[in-house]
Amino acid sequence: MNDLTSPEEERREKDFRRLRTRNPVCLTCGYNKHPAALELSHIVPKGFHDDAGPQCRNCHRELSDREKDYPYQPQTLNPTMETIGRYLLALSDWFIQIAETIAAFGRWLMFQAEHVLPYEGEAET
Amino acid sequence: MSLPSPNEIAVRAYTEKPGFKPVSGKGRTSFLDEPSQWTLIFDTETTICPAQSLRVGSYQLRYGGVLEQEGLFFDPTTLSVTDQTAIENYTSTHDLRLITVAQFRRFLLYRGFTLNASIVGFNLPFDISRIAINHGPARRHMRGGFSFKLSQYPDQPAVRIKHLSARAALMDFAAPGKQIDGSGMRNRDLKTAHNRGYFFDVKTLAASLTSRSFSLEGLCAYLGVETKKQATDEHGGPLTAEYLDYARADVQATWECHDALREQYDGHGLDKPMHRVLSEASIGKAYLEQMGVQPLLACQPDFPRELFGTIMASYFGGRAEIRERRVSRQVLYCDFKSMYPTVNALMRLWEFVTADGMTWQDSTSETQAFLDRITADDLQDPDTWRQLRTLVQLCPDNDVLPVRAKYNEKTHTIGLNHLTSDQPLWYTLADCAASKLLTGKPPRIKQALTFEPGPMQAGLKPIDLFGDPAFRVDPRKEDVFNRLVDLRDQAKADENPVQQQIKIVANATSYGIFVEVQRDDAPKPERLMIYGPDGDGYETASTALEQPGKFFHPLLATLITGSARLMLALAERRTLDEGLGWVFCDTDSLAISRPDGMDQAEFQARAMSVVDWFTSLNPYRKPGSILQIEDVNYQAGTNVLEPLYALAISAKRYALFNLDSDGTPILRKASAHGLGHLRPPYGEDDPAPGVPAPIVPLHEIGVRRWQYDLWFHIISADLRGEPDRVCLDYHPALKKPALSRYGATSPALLRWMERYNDGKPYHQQVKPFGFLVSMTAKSGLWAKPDCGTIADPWKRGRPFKAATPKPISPFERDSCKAATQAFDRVTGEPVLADQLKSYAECLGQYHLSSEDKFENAEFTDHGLTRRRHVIAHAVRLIGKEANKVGEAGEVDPICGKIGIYKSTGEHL
Repeated sequence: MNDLTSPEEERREKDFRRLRTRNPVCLTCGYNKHPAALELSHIVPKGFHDDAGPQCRNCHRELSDREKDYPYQPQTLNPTMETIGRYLLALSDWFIQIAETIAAFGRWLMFQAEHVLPYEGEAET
Repeated sequence: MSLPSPNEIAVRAYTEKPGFKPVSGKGRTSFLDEPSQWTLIFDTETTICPAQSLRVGSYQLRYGGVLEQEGLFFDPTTLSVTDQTAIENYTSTHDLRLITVAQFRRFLLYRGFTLNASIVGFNLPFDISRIAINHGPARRHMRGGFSFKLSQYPDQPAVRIKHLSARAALMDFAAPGKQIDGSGMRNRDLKTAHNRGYFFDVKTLAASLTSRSFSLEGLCAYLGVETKKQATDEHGGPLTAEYLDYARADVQATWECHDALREQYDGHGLDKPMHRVLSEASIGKAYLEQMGVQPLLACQPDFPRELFGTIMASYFGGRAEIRERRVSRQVLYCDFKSMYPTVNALMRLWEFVTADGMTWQDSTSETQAFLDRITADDLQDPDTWRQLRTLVQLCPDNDVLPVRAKYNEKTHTIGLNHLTSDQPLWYTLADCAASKLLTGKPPRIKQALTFEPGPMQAGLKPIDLFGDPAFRVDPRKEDVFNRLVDLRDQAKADENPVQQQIKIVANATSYGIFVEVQRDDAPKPERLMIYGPDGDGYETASTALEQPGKFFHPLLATLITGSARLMLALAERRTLDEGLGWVFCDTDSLAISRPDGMDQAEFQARAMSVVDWFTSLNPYRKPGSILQIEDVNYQAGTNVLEPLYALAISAKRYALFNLDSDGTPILRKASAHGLGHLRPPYGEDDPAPGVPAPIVPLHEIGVRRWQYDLWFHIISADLRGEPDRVCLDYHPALKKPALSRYGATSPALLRWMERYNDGKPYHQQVKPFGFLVSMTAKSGLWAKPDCGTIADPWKRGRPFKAATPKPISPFERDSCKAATQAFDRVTGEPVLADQLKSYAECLGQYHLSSEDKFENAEFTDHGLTRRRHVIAHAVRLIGKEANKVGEAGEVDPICGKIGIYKSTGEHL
């Protein structure tokens, strides 16, 4: 059979399984052009919790850098509280990045509104 | 004369493995659990010899539902040259792919495992078994099942299949024999879940969504799909174009049914992926999860296991018994409306389902006071039922309570009998109230525990059934058990077909999932924690491992069944108070009988009085009594009551019939209990001569034609005054050896064919999920006598007594042909046809089936049965007794034993 293998499709299926979704989008900047450029980013290091989502390589590197300020495993006498605290800290970093993306999009829309003619049908009547 | 009453009774124990982590306590899946857009549908046609080996297979590969490729596959090592030529010509003419089965295996592995295609079939375990290279027993959590090798390369996974029931099997890919994770992951002790695959058995899906079993033909008709399953009589003949058309049509029909069922499932709007649906219970659990309901073991993971032991000890199943045996009586057949949801609603058990755990407190004095003052009239008040959320401990003193014992000295059954015991036992308060109603004497209790639900769980949310706001259900504000029945009533009144699906949801969420216990038969004893009624837990080793299911909540299960028994006891009490009798009851139904000398009008008036008594207990919007007069009491298709008669033999074995002007019985309802495991001796198109045709469809009566004919003769014998003499010579087919068909669904069952398979190449062996037939050897006086041997003067002790053979044979539809190949599955010795029981001999005593739970219920006894008085000297702890009972009520030949853990007390 000459269609037994479909290497590209195999790679995509591996990407989807790796990213845990068939519709991967960078949760921070919205990149979704190619799954191979996306990575599974854990919100907190895996030693704390397994929650994760797709991020593009750049956003993943940015967020991961801040993680290096803290240990990768629970270290305190109250690991549950520590986990929750780390999770919230990490989540706030994600939200900061997401907020920056939203702001950039807002500024882009404002620019479009000033300089680009509306599409037919969108003009105010 | 009845067997003596047993002196050992049994109660259920709670068991779990040490270190058990409940499923409900595990996190959600953290991996992709969704198939790709590819779907591979396939079906196999086999030889008609016992091996049922592959002849030709047909497949379709679809992407997003669109057909991408269609083809046939075959085994070139076994298919004749003529047939191969025929397939080649056919595929060339129809522009189809033609591949070998080896290529198809690679194709299936690539598409199913690597590209995550959905693999679809009808009765998929059989088809996978036909294409496998080899098989072996599965291990770990799939033990008891099979592992099918599809590739000679170890880096390719096997397919594991574990049979759960006639309708469902677990199927997945085993882990391939290669590293999935890189060294970085391995060094950090991190593991990637391997791809388990997505297997869809359309038979399983259909049963889950409709609560019915279907053949492919029946399912096509039910769903109204475009492609119907074709008929053919060419199985085993040369491959022709028509036969290959038939094979392709099977695959197309399977796909269309799958598509229709997917649409139906999507209509439910559930988050649970369809490949995780194995039964109606899966649907029920999915609805609870959709509403945000957390199981008890997730809310209260540290719930004391000792208390589970206490609660399980009070658990008994539904009441099924007969009071008047082997006497035809006119009856009014009544049935409680949605019994389990009804008692749930009356006791407000939904509060427990949505509660964040529960609490309990001692209520001994209040409960004794309650029992002392309770009357039947009090139980007409719905508020009284809220007080029944109590378990009591007592030393029964001739109280009428459910008693689980080996009444027939072989298997445990439950009967409502008089019980005396020095050992304290736990029962529901409802059972004690029922005892008082039936004896007039309130039981004296030692201790009582009343349970209260904890605060409502956070995270509950409303859902719209089928995505329709008109069917909104809000678990925070309403009793969902109540609401589902109301919705169903409304849908029924509107003639909306979703009413059937609502019924399935209501049944699936109201009881079974709360007492679900998962059984695992270990090859050798493993550690197990046992908790009994005395609050002690201890560790033992057992091969019968039972663990709680996801929504395990034994308090709900025991309160539900206890209250259902109380409801039946109330119906019984009211019936007797009206001067009427009753013939049988079965979980939620009661056949009220007309006493001799009472005229029709008075009988109907008094029976209606019993029915009307339950009106005040109706928790639903639709008015009326919850005790309803079944349709079978009316002339077919009318509202006119017609005298209905009942003949009951033993629990769950009864028939309901009218009499025509000649006094000939007209069956309206009958039971296949104790008959369903036998292969039909003759077809629907070859009925017994002299038996009138049924006036309603057989599926409404509940039996097949041969069973209908049998009941007709049993009833006729009773009506002519010869109830003991049922001649079984009314059809020549009854002289043939009686066959039961089994699927080789587990390694233990397949081992029956070990001697047959020995020395044969794999394609000639009986394979997993292939069929075999079992017969019954004559025994005792009917067995072939020994030739006799000269006694050895030097040998001491009792002479060896030959065991009764256990004859089996490779599958044959024809009884006589199967008999010629019969052999003893234990010794391998041939069993001659004249040593096999015929249908007539197997059925010869069906009409005399004893009801060992009660007295005056032996073979030839008839009339009123009497409750036994069981004096319990010992109490045995057991596991789930239903494990040992087959689906037709027969003893399951293969399910090891029920777990028997411990016995306390004095054995006499």
